[in-house]
Amino acid sequence: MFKKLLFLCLILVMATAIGATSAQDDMETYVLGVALPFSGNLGTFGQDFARGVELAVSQVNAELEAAGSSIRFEIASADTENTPEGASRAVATVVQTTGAQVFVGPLTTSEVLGAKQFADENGVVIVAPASSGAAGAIPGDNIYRVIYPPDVFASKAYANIALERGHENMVVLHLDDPFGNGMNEGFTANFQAGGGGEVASFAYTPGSTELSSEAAAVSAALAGFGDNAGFFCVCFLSGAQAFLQVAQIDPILTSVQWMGNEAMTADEILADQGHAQTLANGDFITVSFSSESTPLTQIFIDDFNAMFDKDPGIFTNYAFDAANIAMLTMLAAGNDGAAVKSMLPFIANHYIGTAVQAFLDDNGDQAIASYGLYQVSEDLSSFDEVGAYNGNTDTITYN
Amino acid sequence: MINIDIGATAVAILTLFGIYSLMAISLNLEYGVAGVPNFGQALFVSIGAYTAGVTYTRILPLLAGLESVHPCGPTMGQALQLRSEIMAAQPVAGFINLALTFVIAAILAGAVGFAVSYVTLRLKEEWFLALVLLVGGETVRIVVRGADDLICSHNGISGMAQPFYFLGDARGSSLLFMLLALALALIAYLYSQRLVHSPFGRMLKGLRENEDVTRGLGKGISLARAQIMLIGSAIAAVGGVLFALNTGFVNTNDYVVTLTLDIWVMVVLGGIGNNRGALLGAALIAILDRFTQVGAIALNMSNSPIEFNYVRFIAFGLILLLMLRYRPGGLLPESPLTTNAHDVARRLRG
Amino acid sequence: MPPALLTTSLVNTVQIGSLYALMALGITLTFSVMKLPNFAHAEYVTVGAFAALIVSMAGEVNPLVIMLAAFVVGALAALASHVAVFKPLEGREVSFYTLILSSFAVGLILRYILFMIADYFNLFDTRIRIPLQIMLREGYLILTNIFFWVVPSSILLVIALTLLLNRTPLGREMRALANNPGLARVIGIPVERVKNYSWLLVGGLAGVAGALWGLQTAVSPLMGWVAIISVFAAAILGGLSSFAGTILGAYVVAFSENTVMLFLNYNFGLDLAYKPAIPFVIIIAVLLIRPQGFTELIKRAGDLQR
Repeated sequence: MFKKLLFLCLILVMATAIGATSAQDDMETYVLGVALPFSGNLGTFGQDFARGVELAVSQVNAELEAAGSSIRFEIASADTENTPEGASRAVATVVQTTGAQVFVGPLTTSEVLGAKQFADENGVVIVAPASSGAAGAIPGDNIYRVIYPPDVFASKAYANIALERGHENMVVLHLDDPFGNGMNEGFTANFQAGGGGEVASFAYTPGSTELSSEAAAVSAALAGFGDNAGFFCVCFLSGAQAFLQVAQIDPILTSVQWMGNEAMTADEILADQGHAQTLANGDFITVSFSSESTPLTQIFIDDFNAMFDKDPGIFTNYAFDAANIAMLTMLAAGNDGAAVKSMLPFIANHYIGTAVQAFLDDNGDQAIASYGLYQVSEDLSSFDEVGAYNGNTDTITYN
Repeated sequence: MINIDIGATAVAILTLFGIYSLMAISLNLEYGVAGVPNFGQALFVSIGAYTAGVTYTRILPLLAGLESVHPCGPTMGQALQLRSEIMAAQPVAGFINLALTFVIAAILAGAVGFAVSYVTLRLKEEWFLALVLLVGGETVRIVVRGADDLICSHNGISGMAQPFYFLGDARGSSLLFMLLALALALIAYLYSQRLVHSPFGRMLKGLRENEDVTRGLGKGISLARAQIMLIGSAIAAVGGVLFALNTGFVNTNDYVVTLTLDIWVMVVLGGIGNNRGALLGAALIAILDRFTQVGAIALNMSNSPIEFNYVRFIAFGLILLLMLRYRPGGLLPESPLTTNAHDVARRLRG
Repeated sequence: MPPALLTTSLVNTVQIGSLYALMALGITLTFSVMKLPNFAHAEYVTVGAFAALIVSMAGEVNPLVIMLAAFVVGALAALASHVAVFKPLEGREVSFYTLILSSFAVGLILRYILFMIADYFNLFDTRIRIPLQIMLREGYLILTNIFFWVVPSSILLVIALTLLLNRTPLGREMRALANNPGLARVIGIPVERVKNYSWLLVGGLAGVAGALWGLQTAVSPLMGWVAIISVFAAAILGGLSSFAGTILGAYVVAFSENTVMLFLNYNFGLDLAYKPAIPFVIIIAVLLIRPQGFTELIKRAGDLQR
C-alpha cells in the first residue's frame, strides 16, 4: 500500500516536472526563490509577503514581454515552517530543485540565520525583506537586508519620543525573540542614555493567543511607576490583538500614553472599534518605516488591490521591493549567484521603492533610516502620518 | 521551471538520512528494545546541538591558539567572524573541536539520560514517562531560551561551519559531511545490532515484554533501563551535533515537540524493535520530506489558488495514518530473536 | 503583590480556568471511555473557533447561535476522526503509542485544513466581532460581557455534562464503558452507539470552548495547539479519570499561569517568558509525586471510575 502511494507521489512529481519544463523552449526562465513561513504562527505574514512577490514578478514579466525580451521570471516557493532548520531545508530544496540562485525571504532574523550557511557556501543570495534583528548584521555574507533598516534606528526613535513626551519611566512588553529582545535592549539603552529612568520589560512567547496575565503585569508596573510613565508594545499582530483585548478595560493602561511597533498599525487592529479607541485614547504613536514618500507607494497599493482584491498587509510592500531589487539585479547580472552578489548593492542603491530608496551599509543592510510617525486618525479609520524621524541625523519633526 | 540537481538532492537526502538514522536508532534502542517510551528525544538531540554551540564559541578559538570572544551581545559579529576564519583556515583545530564536541555531547546526554531514567522509576504507569519526557524537553528548551550566555538565548549561535568548510568547495564539503553522517550512522547501527543480539539485549526485550518475569530471573531492571537510556541518549546527541552543523546554526526553536514526533514516526513506520526498520523509517522521512516539498514547489508553480505548502502537511498526516492502519507493525516488523540454542533446538527437532 | 494585580489575576484565573475545564473534560472523557489520550482534541477547539468566526461574519448574531454552530461543527469533527481513524484502529491491538501518534496525525491534518481555509478566505488574525463591554466595576474588580459569556456557559455545560453522566441512561452506559469495556459489551450495552455519542459530546464541548476562546482572542489555526499542553495538565491533575478533579485541575493550572506566575514575577522578578513552562512543571510534579492527581481528594461527584 505504502509503496504504491510513494510511487504515485513520485509519478506525480515527475509528471509536473516534465510538464513544467517542456513549455516555451525559446524562453529563458529565471527562477526567483521564495522561502517564507507559510505554516506556523507567522502564516499570515508568509502569505502576504508571497503575494507581494507575486505582484512584483507579474509586473516585471509584463514589462519584459512588452519589451520583447526572452527572459521571464518564475517563482519557486517553499515553507520555512518558521524554524531556522526549516528555512535551511526550504532554501536548499528550492535551489536543488529549480536551480534558483536568488531568494526573497525568509522573514524573521532566526530563519535568515538558519538559511545563512547554505546560502554562503553555495553562493546563493538571500534578499531578506523584513529581518531587522541585530544578530543578522554580518559583513561580507550572502545576506542582504535591503529595505527595512536594522532596529538600532527605530529603537532610538522610540527612546527619543518617550523622552520628548516627558516619560520618566517606561514599561515595555515585547516578543521573546531576536526582534523583540533587540528592540527592547536598544530602547532601554537609548532611553537611559538620554536621561530616562527605569525601564520594566516583560517578554511574551511568540504565538501566545492570550495575554491577560502579561497585561496585568504591565498595568501593575505602570501603577508602580506612578505618573509620567509610558508604555511601549513590541508585538506582532496576533499578540497586539490579544493584548489590546484585555488592555482596553484596564484602568491604568487606558490612562497612559502608548507607543508600539509598526505591526500594530495593521487593518485588523482598526477593524475592532474597541482596540482602535484604546490606541487613540493612549495617544498611540508608531515609528513606521513605510513613510509615504515615494510615488510608487499608492501605485503599489492600487495594483495589489487590482490583483488580489484586498489591501496589502503591513510590511507586504517590503517583499515587493525586495523582489524588485532581486529581479533587477538578475536582469543586469544574469542568473548567477556570484554576479548577483557582486552587483546587488549597486542596483539596490539605485532603487526607489514603495517606502524609500535603498542604500546598503557594509553589512548589506539598509542604511537609510527615514521613518514616518503615525497615529490613529480621529474617526479611527486609518493611521495618519503626523511626523517623521530621520535616523541618520537622529531628528524628529512633526507636521 | 523544475530542474532537479540530482547529485545535490541525493547528497542532501542522504545527509539527512544519516542524521535521522542516528536519532531513530537511538529511539529504537530505548523504546523498541528496552520499552522506554522516550517522548523527549528533542531534548537529547538538542543537548548535542547546544554542546556544539558552546564548543564552537569557547573551545574552538583556544584550539586555534586564539583568544575567545564572548559570542553574545555587542561582540556577536566579531565572534562569528573569528569562528568562520578558524574553520576556513585551520582544519586541524576544526576536527579536534568536532571530536571533542561529539565526546562531550555524548557524555552529557548520556548522563542526563541515565539520571532521567532513575528519577522516572517512581512513575506509576509507563506512559507517564512519555509525558514527563515530552514536557521535560520543552521545559529545558524554554530555560535555555532564557539563558543569556549559553547559546545567546533566543539569538542562537550562527556561522558554525561544517568541518569540511576549509575545502572552499560547497559540493565537495557537503559530500564529505554526508559521508561523515553516514559513517556515524553505520557505526551506531552495527553497535546497536550487536547490542540487541547480546544477552543484555535479550534481557532488555524480556524486560519490555514482561517486567515481572525478568525481575524474577534476577535481572537488575533499573540499572538495565538506565544503561540503555545512557546509550540511546548519547547516540541522539551525536545526531544532534550533526543536525546543528548541517544548518550551521543552533537555536532553541528547532528542538520542539514536532522533532520528537518526526523521530517517533520514523521508528513506527520502519518497524518498532528492529534496527533495520529504524533505518528504513529514517530514509522514508528524509525522502518523503523532500518529495512533498518538491511536489509543493512544482504544484505551486501551476498558479493554482490552493497553497500546496499546506497540502504537504495533510499528505504527510494521511500517509502516516494509512501506515498505522494497514501496517501497524511497521514496514519491517520485528522478527523473533534467536540464539545458538534456538538453532540447536531446531536441528534436534529435525 | 498589589491588590489590583491580585484581583485582575484572579478574574483571569476564573475566566481562563473555565475554558480549560471545558476543554479538559473532553480529554478526560476520551481517555476514560475510549482509552485514548487524544492530542487532536486541540483541533476540535480550533475547528469550533473557526465555525464561530464564520457564523459571526454573517452580521449581528446572537452569541448563543455562534456557540451552537461551534458545538455542531466541533462534534462532527470529533465523530469524523473517530469513524475514520480511531475506530478502525481499535480492533487491531495497536500499541498505546500508535494511538498517540495517530491522534497527532489527525490533529496535523485538521490543523492544515484550517490553514488552507484561513488562507483561501483570508481569515488569518480575524476576530469574532463582539464588542467588549464592562458589565461590573467594583473597586479593582472589572468584569466584562465576555466574562459573563464564558464563565456561566462553561459552568452550565459542566453541570449539564455531570447530570448527563449521572442521571441519564446514556451517562450510565458511558460510565459502564469507562469502568469495564468487556463487561459493558457482555451486559448488552450498545458500545458503538455510546462511543459515537461520547465523541459527539467531546467534540461539541471542545467546539464551544473554541468559540468562547475566540471571543477573547484572535482566531488562528494554531490556537488550540497552543493551549493543549495546559489543558492536558488540567486533565492529568484530574488523574485522567475524575470529572471534579479535572475541573479543579483546570482552575489550578489557570491559577498557576496567572496568579502564581504574576506573584513570582512581581516579587521575585521571574521573567514572564517562562510562563509556558508552568503547565510542564505541573505535569512533571504531579506525575512524579502524585500520579492519581486529585482523584482521591474528590471521591464524590462525577467520578467516572467510581
